[in-house]
Formats: sequence, C-alpha cells, structure tokens
Amino acid sequence: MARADVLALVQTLSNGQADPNLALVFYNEVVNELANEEWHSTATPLTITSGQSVVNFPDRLLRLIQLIYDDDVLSKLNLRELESLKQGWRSVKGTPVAFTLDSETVKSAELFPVPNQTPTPIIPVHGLPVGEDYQPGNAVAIYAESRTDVLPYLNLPVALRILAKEYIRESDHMDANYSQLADMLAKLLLEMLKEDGSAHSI
Amino acid sequence: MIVGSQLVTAILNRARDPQGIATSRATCLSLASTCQQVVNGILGDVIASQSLQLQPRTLIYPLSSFVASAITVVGVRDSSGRDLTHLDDGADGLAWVSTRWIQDVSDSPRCWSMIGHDLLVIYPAVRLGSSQSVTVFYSQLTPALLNEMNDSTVVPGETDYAIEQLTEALINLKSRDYEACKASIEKYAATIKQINAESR
Repeated sequence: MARADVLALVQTLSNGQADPNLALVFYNEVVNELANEEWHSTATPLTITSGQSVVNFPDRLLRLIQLIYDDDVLSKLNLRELESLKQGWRSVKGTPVAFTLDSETVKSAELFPVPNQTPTPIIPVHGLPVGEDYQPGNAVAIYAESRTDVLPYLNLPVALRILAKEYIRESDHMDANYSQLADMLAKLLLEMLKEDGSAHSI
Repeated sequence: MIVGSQLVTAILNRARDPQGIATSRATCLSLASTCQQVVNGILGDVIASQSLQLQPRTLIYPLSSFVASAITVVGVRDSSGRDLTHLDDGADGLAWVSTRWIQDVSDSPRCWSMIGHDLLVIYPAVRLGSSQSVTVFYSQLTPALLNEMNDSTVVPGETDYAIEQLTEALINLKSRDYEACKASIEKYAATIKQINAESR
C-alpha cells in the first residue's frame, strides 16, 4: 500500500519525530495539492437528466480537466459570458455546448443549454467510460482525483512534502531549515518527474 | 549497475557515516531503492515495453491499470512497427485536433497523448470488430532493492552517481546536516542536468 509506505518513509526520515496522526492529515492535504499538477487523472461518465442543468461530479474530483457531452468537448464559460451570449440562458433547452462552474457551491457544473434528453446510462462492462459501453447523450468528466494511494514513484516527493509541513508547525521539534530543505527537494523531484517522457528514444 | 552492498558503502562514506551508526545499512538500502525508482522515472534509463490490446472505440486507458509498472510513457508503436506521433498538451491538444476526439475512430491509431500523468490516450480509436494491439514503451518502476548481497541497481553506471547523491541528500537531511544536504542536492541536480544533456 503506497500510503503505508509513504508514512513509513516519513517516520524514517524524521527519526520517529513526526506525529503519526498528523502525518495522515498532511498526507491527505498533499494528495489534494497534487491535483493542481494533474498527477492522478481519470475519466468517468456522469449522470444526465433531461430538464436538469446541474450535473454532479464524483466526490473524488479535485480539478476538472475537460467535460465532454455526447462526443463534444464543452467550452468552459463564466457567468458574464453566458449572460452576454443569451439573456435568460438558464431557460434555454437543447444540446449542451458549454458549462460554468461559477454559480456552483458544491462539486457540480451547470450546463448550457439545459439538456433536453435523458440518455441510456453507461454501464461500464468493459471497465472504461467510453468505447463499446458508451451510450449517446451521456457526459464524461476527465479530472484529477483524490486517491488513497498515490502513484508508487511519488512516495518520496510526497513524504518530503509531509515532512515540510510537519517541521514548520508549532511543536517541540519545529525546524524551519529541515522544512525548507524537504520542501525544496520535493519540488525539485516533482518538477523533474513532470518532464515529458517522449524526449527519450525507444 | 552496482551491487547493493557497494552502493550502501559508497553512500555511507559520502554521508561520513561509514560504520552505519546514524543510518543503518538496511535503512540506507531502502532509501537507495526508493531513489533508484525516482531517478529512473526522471531519466528513463530502464525502458520496458508491454503489449496493449486496443478496445474498440476506446481511446482512454488508465495507465496504472493497464501498464502497472510504468512511470512515464516514452513511446507507442503499432503492430506494423510504426511509432505513433506524440501529441503534446494533453486534453487541450486533443481538443485542438478535434472537439469530438473522444469518439473519433479510424482503421488504425495515429498518435498518442497523456492526459495528466495517469491517462494514456491512443487516438483515434479503432473500429468495432477490429482487433489491434500496440506496444507501449515506458520508463519502468525499478524493482526494490531488498538484499544488499544479492540485489543490484539496474541503471547504467553514470546514473548510479545520481542515486548515490540523492540518497546522500536524504541521509544528510535525516541527520540534520543541512549544509551537506544542500550541497548534495546541488550535486544531484547538476548530475541529472549533465546526464540529460548527453546524447542518449
């Protein structure tokens, strides 16, 4: 289990000083921060209901990368753009072409126009959101998600980030130098790992 | 490529702890094992390949599910031996090619892309009834070093220095020797930069 490996690495590098309970809290924080760099990307179908403009995202979603409705990539617009596009845009029905996140307080998006058909739900027999299982009229969200276990090669950078948080908080072992170096090394490793693998020859 | 025992001895000497007092040999080996995985993810020295059976009308493949030991995809080759073109910019790049990219189909795939770091896209998808496979080349998650007498690193000799320097940085950090840690990190970054600059 990657989470257990990360927490063990944290204890090793801190010589046992790191609080194990807080290490778990910091682990979850770091996993959420990784979403900004789209490390844990995935795609899932979304439930669409005729007459309902709001579509709910999975709880695990942290950062939406792309939203697709019925084969088309939807444009992301803000409220002002939608209002300039069409007064009373919320009452327009049809095939969605755009969405906005501006007015939503939970993990959801509002589609424009409002979908006017309820599709046959996707049942992922083949384990994938598109392909043979895909039914027309459905939506697919591609996003960075929260995971219990990080990708295994991220164990070290994640452990270093946890240590950076651990050693900057108020405690009997607070150490700004340690925190700064751990954070610096974590950032360096993540930047190096992000670089495009296609530069290597095969 | 270096045997685990020699690697541990070299690292502990660098960290000025040749007897393994502050950091045991077992701990040092474990840290070096983790560092080898990270360094190979960065440099891509150890490349492996795996066949991927294409599902009809499907472009998106979760990398950690289909190719579990992959860190980064470095290339994709179809069954005829042709390398597929790499498309940059992930989902945005695909949307530039076609706003209906998710359902585009063809007789054979032409290119590949990554969305984030865990979604491999083979574009376009193959048609229903078509049975094709591609070979995915990737930088491999190297096996763990468990026994210093039996296990060796699997990367080229020049990359062993990078592993030593990164592990040394971790040991110095663990020992609270911050000046030495900073120096190790700088040496490690310079080694990576030098290795990347060489034609490989």
